[in-house]
Amino acid sequence: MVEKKKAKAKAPAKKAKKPVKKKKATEKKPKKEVVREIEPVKKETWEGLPLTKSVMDAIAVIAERENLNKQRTDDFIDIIKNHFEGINVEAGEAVGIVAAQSLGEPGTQLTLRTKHYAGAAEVSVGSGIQRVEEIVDGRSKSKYPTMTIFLNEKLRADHDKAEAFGKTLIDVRMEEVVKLQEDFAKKRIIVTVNEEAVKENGMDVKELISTIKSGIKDAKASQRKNSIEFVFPQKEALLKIRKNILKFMNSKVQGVKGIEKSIVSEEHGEFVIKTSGSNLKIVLKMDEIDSSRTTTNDIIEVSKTLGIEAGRLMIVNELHKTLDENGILIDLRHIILLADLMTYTGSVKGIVRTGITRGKSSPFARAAFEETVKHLLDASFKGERERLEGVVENIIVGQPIKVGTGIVELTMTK
Amino acid sequence: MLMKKIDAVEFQILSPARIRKMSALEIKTPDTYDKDGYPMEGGLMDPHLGVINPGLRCKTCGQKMKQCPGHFGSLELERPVIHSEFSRKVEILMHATCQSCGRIVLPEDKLQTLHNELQTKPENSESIPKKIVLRAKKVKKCPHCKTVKDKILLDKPTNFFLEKERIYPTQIREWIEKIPDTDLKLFGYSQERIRPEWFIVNVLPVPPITIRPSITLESGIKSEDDLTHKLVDIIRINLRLKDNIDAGAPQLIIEDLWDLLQYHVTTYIDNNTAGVPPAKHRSGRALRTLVQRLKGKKGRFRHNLTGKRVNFAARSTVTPDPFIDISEIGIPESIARDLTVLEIVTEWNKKNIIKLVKEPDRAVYLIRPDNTRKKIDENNKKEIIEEIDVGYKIERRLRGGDIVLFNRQPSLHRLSMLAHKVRVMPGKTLRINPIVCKPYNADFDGDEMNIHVPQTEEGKTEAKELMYVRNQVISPRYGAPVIILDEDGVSGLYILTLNSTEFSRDEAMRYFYEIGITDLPKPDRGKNYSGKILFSQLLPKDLDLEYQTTTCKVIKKSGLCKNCVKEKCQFDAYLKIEKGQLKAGVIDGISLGEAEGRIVDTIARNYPSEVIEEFYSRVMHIICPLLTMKGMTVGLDEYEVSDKIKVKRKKIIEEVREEGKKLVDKYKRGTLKHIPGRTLAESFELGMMRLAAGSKDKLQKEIMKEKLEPVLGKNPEFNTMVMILSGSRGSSINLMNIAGFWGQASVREGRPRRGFQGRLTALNERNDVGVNAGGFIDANFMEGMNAKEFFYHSMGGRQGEVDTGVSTKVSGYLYRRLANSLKDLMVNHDGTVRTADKGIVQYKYGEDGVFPMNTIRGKSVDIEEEFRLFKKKK
Repeated sequence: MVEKKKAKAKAPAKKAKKPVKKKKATEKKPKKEVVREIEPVKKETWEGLPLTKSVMDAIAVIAERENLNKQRTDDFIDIIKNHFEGINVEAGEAVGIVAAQSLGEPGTQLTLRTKHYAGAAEVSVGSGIQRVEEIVDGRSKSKYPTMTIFLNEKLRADHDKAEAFGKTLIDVRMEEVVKLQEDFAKKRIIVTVNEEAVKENGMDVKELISTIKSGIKDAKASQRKNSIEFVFPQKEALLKIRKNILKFMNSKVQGVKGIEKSIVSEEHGEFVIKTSGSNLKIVLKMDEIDSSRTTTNDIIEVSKTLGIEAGRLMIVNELHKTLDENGILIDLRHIILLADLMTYTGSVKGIVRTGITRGKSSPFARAAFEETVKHLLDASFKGERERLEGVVENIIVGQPIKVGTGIVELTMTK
Repeated sequence: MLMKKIDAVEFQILSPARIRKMSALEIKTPDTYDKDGYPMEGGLMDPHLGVINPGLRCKTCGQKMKQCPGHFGSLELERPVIHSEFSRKVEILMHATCQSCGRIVLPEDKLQTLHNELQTKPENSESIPKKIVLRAKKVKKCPHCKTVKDKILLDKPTNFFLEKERIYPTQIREWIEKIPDTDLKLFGYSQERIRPEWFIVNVLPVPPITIRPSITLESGIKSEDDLTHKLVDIIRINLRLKDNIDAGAPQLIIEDLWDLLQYHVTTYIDNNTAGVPPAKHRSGRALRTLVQRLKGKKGRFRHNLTGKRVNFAARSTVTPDPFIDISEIGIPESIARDLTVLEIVTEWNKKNIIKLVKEPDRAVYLIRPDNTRKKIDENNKKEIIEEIDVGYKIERRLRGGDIVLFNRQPSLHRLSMLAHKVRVMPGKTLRINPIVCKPYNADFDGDEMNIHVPQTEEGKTEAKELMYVRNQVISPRYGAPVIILDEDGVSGLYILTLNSTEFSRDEAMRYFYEIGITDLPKPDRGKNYSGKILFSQLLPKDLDLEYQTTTCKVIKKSGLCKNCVKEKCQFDAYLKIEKGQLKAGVIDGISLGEAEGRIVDTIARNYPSEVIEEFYSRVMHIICPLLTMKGMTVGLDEYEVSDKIKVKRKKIIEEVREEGKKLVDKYKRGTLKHIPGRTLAESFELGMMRLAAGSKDKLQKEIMKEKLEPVLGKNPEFNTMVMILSGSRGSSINLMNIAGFWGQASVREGRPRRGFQGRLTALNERNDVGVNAGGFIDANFMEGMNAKEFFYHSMGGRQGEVDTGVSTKVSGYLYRRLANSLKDLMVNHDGTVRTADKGIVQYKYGEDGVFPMNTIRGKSVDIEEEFRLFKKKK
């Protein structure tokens, strides 16, 4: 079950349509053979059953391997069905709190665990708690944004080509490749191209010079080797010139906004570009990349560019990955529940006072969390009604909570 | 049980009229008690406001202390003051409205569009006031009455200025009163409920005495509550203000007193208002006024309302007792005497209860149907037995077999509170089976734990059905056992099931007796019994299992094993259980330990919960005597290594130095190869780290190989390796640190850097970046480090210490937020997961509706296993 899910979860956020179709086609073929030889697990048979597709697929595999006839297959399905009835969640189960505990409890244990190998070089791994916090907070700016860019067929096999492409992604500003000399008395400016820097970023000097020329307007330009002199008309206001130049120096020469570094690394036999800094929106449009697999680790960015479902999947993936790296065992369902809670309103809401908690309708629940007074004043100004439906609310007034056995409303009258 | 139920709580702002109406008494004097110690009439402690002495009756409602909730009084202020918490709301209104006509200073048609927006898009209601203020600030003249609009400035928290001229609350009140209800609607005020002029207070509610009781100290001196102190201040200033006004004092003095009154009212509400010096007690301590009472961890909400103190609880140090069941708890007689359980007399248990009362010192109280209590003692027993009838209740002392809840803080997960069965024992500590330490995260270095005794039948049944230890063996976090053997438990079973372990008939009989086996198996080793056959007696008779053990993993790592030959494994590392008989393999971490526990897992899942409890109980009864006899200890000689290793070690350290030198050379000459994306210095540091780590690995493998041999042979007396191989404690790293060398000390994933300028200690040359100057430690724990190495080592140790401190703090807060956001999520009857507001978060829990506790490490169903069973049935 979980393996299947993991596979699903690890698939890139947005699947391109073509590969998916292909996969389906390849999957269907063996299935058809199953149909001919033994009684198949038809779609109709498992629709309406409380079984997930992955379970039915596994049954089909067994049925084929063991040459089961229709009767036997059905019997087996019945057994699995029975099994599922025994392991389903019961109504009233406080799944939320169980998920919170499952995520929160190992958080404190993790810190105790690293302590044991006080600082020996081999086992010191980043605790990961910062990353978990970052994901869970739903922060709009990730502290270490990074993209994993998969390349198209031409580039993915060639290290040098990949590296060259990676260089073109780096956000280079004018000030990084030129030197500036200002002479405001004469209203004259000399822009000198730094050849070394230009080469390092994989650019062409001539091209750069022409962009410089077109970059500064209202001035007479004259070129001498690698430096260009601009003379502004005398009547031009100094302030305006300065403003223009600052804007010019900050203008983008090459690359994608936000990407600071790029590294080529090998993953599963192909070259992949890893970047520091991220800009999914622009990179996805490039031809050189494989847009079906390229991702970033910035959840908010993913949900903004690819939609909330992609964002949800990202939360699940990233959380699962971080916890896994730290050796924390946790059922995927807990993480899925958290991701669902963070995204079910249609936008990513963090587990912070300005996120989920603010959306709660109960003044008591909000007051018991943080900013007690503010919430009480707000509630009285708006004339809110506390309907005592949640857990804390009922604890506050001293009533049984409506969770677990508390959801039963039948009482015996003698 | 019929209960009164609170349906809802409504929040509102008290209007002056309402304050006056609910007031039981108008407070007039600032004095609390007269010289005889009686409360002053019309004072702050007037008995009309409620009673705090038991026995006295309330003058307003005539009830006694327990029934009377207390009554509010009121205080008329001579001059109105601004409610500091609402001054922002007042400011918004003043920005947006006209002083002379009270209308919003926007033209009629614009107001109409805003009204429409409010009606069609109520979700925008928050942003409308902002919009209005933004536009109104630009308006110079009121479009309704053409008055020129002055600029408003709020000097926080309560002083308003109109074109730099102070404007006083009376004027503001007049202004705000003029604003029509229809205009107010746009600011979120609803017509009938609330008026903004209420934010300018002219009558103050005086809270009942019950909220601010005075305390009589032992010395007889009465000490008043902080709130009373503050109220006294307010009344005093109010009186002085009145006297001055009546005497026709100059405006300046009146305004000063007015400001003082404003100050006192502001601090009465919140003594931590920004820009206002906090009011202090005579001793210099800041007063705890209204806002402080509610706020924060020690405030009313978090301290008293979400966390409550309880009765029927006890707390003591815990100590281990391996010979009680995992579901049991040993409770000292002295605690069992003090805790009581409520027993309701019915026609079915009447006889038993009478019998119980007859016994000496078992029942404590008789509770009649009218709730009067009577203490049961030897003298009145006969009458009581006569009196007892259906409908009566008995409070009896705790006895063996009762269900209690047991808890250890911090209660990080639901397994931190489990239900146990009482077993009254001599002694003064609470006893638990060491197997249940794991879920509580308890040890016995002085840990204290709490018990709670459920008092109702519902409570007892719920505890037993839902929280009983043996039903909680599998964790809801990852679907694998959490109540598991560890440390000596695992080592014990490992030693027991080693091939070399044999017992003579006499010894074996002793163990069979301990675990209560009467159906004796035949000896399998001539006259002797092997440990494996002993262990097999603990297993259910139809258990089949097969897998690779932890030992297998360790051996594979050290490179001694190439091809798996399954149960014919020469190291006995492949486990096979057939029909409850251990055919091959040793029992170790993977069979018992956390998150794996294959044997435990299977037993807990596929058999009734009594079976796992029985299993654990018997394991303990075997292991404890076994380890006591055999001895589970380590000696220094276990860490002595052969000369071959010593030479090897020297060589490896020498190599590291050589390689290090080369690296330093390359780095200094600048010929070092860059690691992509890193600077030269970073690449160098990384290279040095890798070098050190690699060298450690090399020697570690050698040591492991050498140390493995004696254990796998005939004589497994080498307990360090027993622990490593069985996975009960420690790993090859620990062995390496003791017998090999420590290697590179690290701080934040790199070599330590800070210290003196360009060097770690004053003992090093400046700018020496070499191996030993960078924190490489040649020594091991056996031979001990020199001063420099010790210092390097402590740098790494310090970082670990700091990290735990920071990380517990961070994760504690993270957990609180998680719990707060997720706590209301619950599976509904229709299978959906919803919030308290009934918003659907998931249509089916976890996408397949399976609870993790019922899964096998996340897998909802092991289809192959199910099919195996299916085939078997046929």
